[in-house]
Parts: sequence; structure tokens; C-alpha cells
Amino acid sequence: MTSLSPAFVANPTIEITEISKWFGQKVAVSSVSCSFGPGITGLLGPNGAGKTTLLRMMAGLIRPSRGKLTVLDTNPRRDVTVFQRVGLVPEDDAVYGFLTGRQFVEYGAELAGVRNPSSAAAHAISAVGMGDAAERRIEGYSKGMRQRIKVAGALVNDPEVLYLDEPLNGADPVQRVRLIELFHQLAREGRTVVVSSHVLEEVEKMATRVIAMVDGRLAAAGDAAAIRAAFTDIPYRVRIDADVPRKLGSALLGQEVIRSVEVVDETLHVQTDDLGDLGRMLPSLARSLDIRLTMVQPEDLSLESVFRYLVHGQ
Amino acid sequence: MTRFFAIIRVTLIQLIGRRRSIGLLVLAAVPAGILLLVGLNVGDRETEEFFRTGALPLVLGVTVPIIAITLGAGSLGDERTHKTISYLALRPIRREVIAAAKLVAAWLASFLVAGSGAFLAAIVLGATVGSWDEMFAIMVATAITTLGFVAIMQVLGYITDRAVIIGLAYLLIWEGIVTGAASQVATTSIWRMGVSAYAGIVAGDHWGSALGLEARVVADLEDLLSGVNPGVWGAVVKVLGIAVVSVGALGVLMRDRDLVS
Repeated sequence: MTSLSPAFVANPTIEITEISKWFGQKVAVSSVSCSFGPGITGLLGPNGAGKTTLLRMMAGLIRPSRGKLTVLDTNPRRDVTVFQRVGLVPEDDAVYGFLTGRQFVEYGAELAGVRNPSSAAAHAISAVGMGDAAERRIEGYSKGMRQRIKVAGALVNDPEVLYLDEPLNGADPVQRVRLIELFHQLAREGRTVVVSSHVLEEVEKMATRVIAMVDGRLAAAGDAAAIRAAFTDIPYRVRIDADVPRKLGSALLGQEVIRSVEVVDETLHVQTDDLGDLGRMLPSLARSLDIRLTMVQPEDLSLESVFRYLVHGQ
Repeated sequence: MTRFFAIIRVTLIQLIGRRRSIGLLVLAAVPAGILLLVGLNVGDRETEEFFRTGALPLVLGVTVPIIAITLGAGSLGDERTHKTISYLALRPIRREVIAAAKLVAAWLASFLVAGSGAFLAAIVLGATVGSWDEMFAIMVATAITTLGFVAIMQVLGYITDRAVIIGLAYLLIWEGIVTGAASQVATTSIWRMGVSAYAGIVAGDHWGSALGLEARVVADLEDLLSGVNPGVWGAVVKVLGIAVVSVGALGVLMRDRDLVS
């Protein structure tokens, strides 16, 4: 028996094969193959990684330039009936500001052909904790409230597949906890939930399985713990300015927490496994060598660089 | 049908429940205002003549098209601009149904706004001259003209963010200059379809003699028609044809093009 690649699941509801999307000369998604099944899968990657484009293709909003994609065994671009079983919370502020929250969700229910739109809307609004504000116009909502009403609009047709593009944007800590619990509950009910985010901690709280993307490609896939372990193995880069950089660099090389030292234009660039240890050790080392430190600054801590390390090892 | 009417309901609020509709209502009332000024300063006969030679072309050839261009472009264009298209399109509704519901909504919105101006002009004419016979004709002509422009603009509004500018350029160049100068292509002019319906109703089967039209009046309308035969049913068939093509084209576009950029 052959084992399944981490990018694929045994009983997929969404299957993606060699899918690509380009806009003119720009390649947004390049030859991605993976699948999604019941439970929460996190789609992780820095801004511009292609997460939203992939999610939009899965939702049927945009057409793949190449490759095959099926949702619940259906091509969402060709058969609109699949939308009876699918919900999307887009990243954009895609709400009708002139409607009240209740009207917005009820409209979604009517469009989805739900039998009793009012009751379905009330249920979805209650699930996101927006009952008190439901009669107010959306244009007066905060970002977090808009986010929650979008979630209600996506849930109103009781979807089997739910796409969430940066769903916690703008939500306050209490709302975040509540939304995350809601997504967990949906996953426990056997739904396929795909959550896109550029924040690892956020994805970790929601997803058990993670698909990481960088530069439009699939960079890593697996359970959230494995991805986190890969992240913690990444060395940190620190820039150090001192009056005698080469002397300090030589001394740092002998330290256990230091992986490498480089001097560029009289500035030290140090790689370390532990920022905390370096921070504790560096002042005393400099003092003992009578070296004056003028700047110590972590660099290259962006998620982009972390992802690049995962993909390219640099 | 619930979905169809739900789209119409929300689109109507979207199109006319906003600040821009106030500006469009003011624009719609301009011909009636001018007609009133003329009516207060000249006799009945001159007022009636100005209605046909000045107010009518201003209503059907300028204010009605501008309103229909603006609201027609916004019907699906606003959904794309405000990104709400995903909320509408990711539902189990055939694309043609969405397009048809949007078209009906944009047409109703345009007719409500533009029609109020046309209605006002007809009232001014009736109040100053005492002739109320033409109110029905001008309202039908307005309905036909709005449908034709809205149907074209809905497609354009879906394709490009510059639909209103392109629509206004089309109104000026094609509808205003080209079809006015070349009678061979005048039948393609949407606002002349409205004029044709108007002339067909006021004249009936007796072009030039119904309602006691004088030769001078017929000549005025013939100038506006620019070679197009008067007739309400011909105009209705033409704009319905444009509407059907518009719905079909939008169905294809929504299936084959990306819904968001």
C-alpha cells in the first residue's frame, strides 16, 4: 500500500490537479496539486503567495488558466447547482452597506433557495453573535462586525464546503475565539473548511492540517505541528552595528547559539537559533571586549523570508 | 422566482437608494423646467411646437439615455466594483437568470427616475397647452428608450469600469451625430426607437392625420426620426431583441470570464 502525499487526503471533497492561474505575464498560481476533505485545512502563505487566487478558483470565482478542479465532484465554473452546498467568506469587504445585517443574510438565503430564509438567516446571525446588531445597516458596522456578518451570509445555506479568506481580519480577541470555536464546530459536523491566512498562529488555532504556499507554488503540506516544527528550526538573522565589528564577529563565532557571522560594509549579520540567548549574551560579551554596540536589530523576520527558507533553504 | 425577485429588490435599492439618484432626478426634471419656462413666456401653439422640437428630443435623446447609461452600467458594474458579485454569483442561480433580473431591476430604476422627468414634462405640456393625449406616448417612448440603453450598458458595465464614459461617448458620437447624419444607420439608434414608438402612438395607423396632426408637426417628428418609420411595435421588438442579446451575452461572460479581478 502506498502512503498518501501530505498534500492529499483520503476522502477529498475538493480535488485540485496541476492547477495554474496567470494574469497576463504574472503567474499567480503555478501547477498546484492537492486535495481537501472534511475538517479544517489552513491555507498558509505570505501576502502574494497565491492563496486568495487558489481559494477563488476553488470557489468558482475565477477560472483556472490550466489544470483541473472539482468541488463535490463538480466543476464549479460549469455547474452552478454546486453552490447550494458551498459558502465563501471573501477577504474583500463584499457586503451591501445599504442593507441591514438581517437583510443581507436573508438575501443570501433567498439567493441560495433556502426554504425558510428568515429562520435560516436568524440562525446564521445567532451563530456569529450578531443578533443585537442585525437590524442596523452594515455601513455602520465595524470591520469585525462586517467580517462576522459575512460569515453568517456564507453559513446561511448550511454549506458542506466553506471557504474562509482571512476570516479573522478585524475581529477583536473575544470575537476571534468565538469564530474559531464556530469553525471547529463546523468541522466537527463533517464539513470541509478551508481557511486562508498569512498568520501562522492564527492557522494553528484553527487547522489541524496546513497547506503552505509561496510564490504561487505549494511549499509544504502536513499537519500543523509539523509545519510549526519546520518554522522553529529556522535561524534568525540579526544585524549588529559596533565600533569594532570584526573583533566582535570573531568572538561571536565561538558562541554556541551562533550559527554564522558575516561582515558586510562594517556591519555584522549574525544567524542564531535563539534570539533570547543572543540578547542576554551579547551585552556582556561586548563589555568584556570593550566594544561599543550602536545597533542590534533582528532582520529578515517577515513571514515571506520564513516561507522562503522553507522552500529554498536560505 | 423568489431569487429573481430578490435580485430585483436589492438591485433597485442599490441603484436608486443612493445619492446619485438625486442628481439623476434633477437631471430628469430639466426638460420639464425648460418647457415650463417656455410655456410661461409664449403661446400654446409655440409651447406645443417646442415640446416636439425641443423638449421631446431633450428627454428621449439626452436625459433618458444619460440616466439609463448611469444606472445600466451600475447594475452589475457596482457589484464588481464593490466586490459583492461573489455574494450574488456563488449561488445556485443560472447566470442568465442573474443577468435578466439585473436587467429588469436596472430598467425599472431607470424608468422610475427618467420616467418621472418625462411624466413631469407631459404634465407641464398638459397644464400649459391643455393637451393630455401625449402623456401615454411619451411614457411608452421613455420605457422603450431606457430598456435599450440599459441592456447595452449592463454588458458594458460588467466588462469595464469606464462604462459610463464609453456610454456617454457612444451617445454623443453614434446616437447624436452618426445616426442623425446617416439615415441608413438611423434604425440602430436607440433613442430614435423611442421617438418611433412615440410617433407611432400619437399617429396610430394614420401617420400625419391622427390626433389632427398638422403637416408641420409630422415634419418635426420626421426630422427626429431621421428616416426611421414610426411604429410602437417595431420599436418594442427591437429593444426586446437587444435585451435578449444582452442577457445571453452576460450569461456567457459570467461563465467564461473571471467574476473578480
